[in-house]
Amino acid sequence: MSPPQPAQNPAHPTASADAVFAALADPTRRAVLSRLASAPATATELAAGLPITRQAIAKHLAVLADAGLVEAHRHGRETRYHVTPEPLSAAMGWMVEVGAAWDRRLARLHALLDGGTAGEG
Amino acid sequence: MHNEHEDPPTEDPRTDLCKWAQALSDTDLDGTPGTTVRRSAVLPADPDRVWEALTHDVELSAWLGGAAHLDPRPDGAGSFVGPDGRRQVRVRRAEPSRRLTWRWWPHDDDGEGASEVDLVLVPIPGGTRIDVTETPVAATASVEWALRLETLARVGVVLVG
Repeated sequence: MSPPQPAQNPAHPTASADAVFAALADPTRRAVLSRLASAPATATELAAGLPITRQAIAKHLAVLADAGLVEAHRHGRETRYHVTPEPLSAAMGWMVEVGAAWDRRLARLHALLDGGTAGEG
Repeated sequence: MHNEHEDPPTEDPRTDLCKWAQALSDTDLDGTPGTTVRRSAVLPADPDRVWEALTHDVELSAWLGGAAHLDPRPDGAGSFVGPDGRRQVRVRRAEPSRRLTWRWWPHDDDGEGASEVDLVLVPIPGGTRIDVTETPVAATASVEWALRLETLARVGVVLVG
């Protein structure tokens, strides 16, 4: 069971959720995140598996870190990046809440149109 | 085409993360970003009648779930007072009986928490299919940028390296 998210109103993407969404909108960053979700890695290891340079990877990692999605851990001379899933949970919370709201709205719209077509005018 | 993301984010967040990250990495730029909420429904009325229900304030309020006002023209202003507060609304696209797109955001911010709602009506035998998407504007803007950068890359501008 995941702990409840503190004080995030999921009906509104907050500024921090915005940063998460912006970070996730880029396909390379999604690929980086997907790779890190399976195991922590260094920028060099990430660059080996993706068709872009280590420098570009470093920029993407900085955006992901700003959004709180990854964290850097130093081990001696190398820096390994780990996924920190909490902001993603908040963003997913937004998606789940918004999806549920649309389920309710579409059910009401259906009921309105079902009952209202005959007696109109 | 009309995937519904119905799995609630329960259990270990890391399990969800792996699944979601996989789904995200499978999403390409021609599609919508992985942060889009999608829903579809079949409605028992023709698109003209559905359009009325989307654009007349009394009916709109009834199904949207709060006091709603909308000026259904491009750049038309609106408002919505729902369970989680008051929102401002701005119409982006209004094609009668076909498509209605608006952005809405919490009344007390400057559009930072905005998301875009797109309602597409498709006539089908005996009724209308409505395809709904809601996407955070931050993601939309970022995808637009990515597309622009990709276009630059295609015409030979070196972006990285």
